Amino acid sequence: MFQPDSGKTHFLNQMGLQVILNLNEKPATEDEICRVLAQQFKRSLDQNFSLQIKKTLNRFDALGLIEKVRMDSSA
Amino acid sequence: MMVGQLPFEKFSALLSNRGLRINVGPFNIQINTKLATLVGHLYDHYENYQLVEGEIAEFHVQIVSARPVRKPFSPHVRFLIDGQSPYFSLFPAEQALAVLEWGINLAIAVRVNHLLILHSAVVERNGHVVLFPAWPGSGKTTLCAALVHRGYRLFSDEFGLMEPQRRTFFPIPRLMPLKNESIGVIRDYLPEAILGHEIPNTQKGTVVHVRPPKESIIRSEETAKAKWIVFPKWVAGASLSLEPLPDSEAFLLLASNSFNYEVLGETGFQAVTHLIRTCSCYKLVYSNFDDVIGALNDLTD
Repeated sequence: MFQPDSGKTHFLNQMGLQVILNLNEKPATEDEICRVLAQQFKRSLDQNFSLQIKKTLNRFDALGLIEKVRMDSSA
Repeated sequence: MMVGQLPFEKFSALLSNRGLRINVGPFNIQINTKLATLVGHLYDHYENYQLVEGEIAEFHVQIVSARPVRKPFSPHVRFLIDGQSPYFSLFPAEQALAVLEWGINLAIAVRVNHLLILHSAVVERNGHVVLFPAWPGSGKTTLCAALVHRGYRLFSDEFGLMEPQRRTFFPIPRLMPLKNESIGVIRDYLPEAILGHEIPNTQKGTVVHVRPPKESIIRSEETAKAKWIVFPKWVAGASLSLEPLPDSEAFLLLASNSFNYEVLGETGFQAVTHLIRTCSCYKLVYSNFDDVIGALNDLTD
């Protein structure tokens, strides 16, 4: 995947790519992303799986591939 | 007019005065030197290149004599491009031809950014090119030398020059530097190949240059699109293996084999993506020329 802002190319595995594709369709919370991915890849939604996905999301955020935003509780 | 049609005296005068301008694929190169032995070697090796008149040269290179401080009586040379030296070192004068050829490679690798430059041997058969991207030591020059003497047209043993919009490759047929053991291998396998003198004790060991076939130089304006990407590796005694490579792995290998992939940004990404989507990609392990040429003939038939 090419990121125009940094000019860098990122090599993603299938699950990493699916994270980007899902978020490209619509924004989601971390828990929603974990739930959808567990369904898509037929994995159990345990703590270990969620932790790995959240680590990946943090990494993608640091690379500028996705943007983490705070949920506005009044909205 | 070809270099070989010039009388030696005129050739020598050009090199030592206003410069010899030759066409090599998409570039015109102007060479200056007063070094007598190099003049002789160039007259032999460059005889089939076209002389250029009334056109700009993209590269102005020189080999000049130099005296090292610690060895003032030992003849050395320095490579210059546009009058500047990109190397800190001086080189023994007997290595002048190798220094000139490496210097031109360096100039192309560093200065050309309108083309995607892959570190790859490139040959053409049946109207399409085969890319052999590989790092030094994988035997791509040796394989390339063998193929171009068995019916393949030489584009380059070193550079895949791709025009990113048209997606075509430019031939840049230059001398092919064989190193160390590969010299004997090619002498035995290709007695008809025209090899230059041995240049011992270079940074890469002993070097001998193979002259490109005349037809490859004459047809150096004929571009072609790529159809196959083969990542080669010579392994002593290995039996032939030509295995398909997944696109993702091929992309990673190809992009990391480019000199200017990151400089080109999205253009480079699109160019490499196009290559991976339109070419069949393979991993090649070989040790025997007859086997590998047979397999590549089957692939490109």
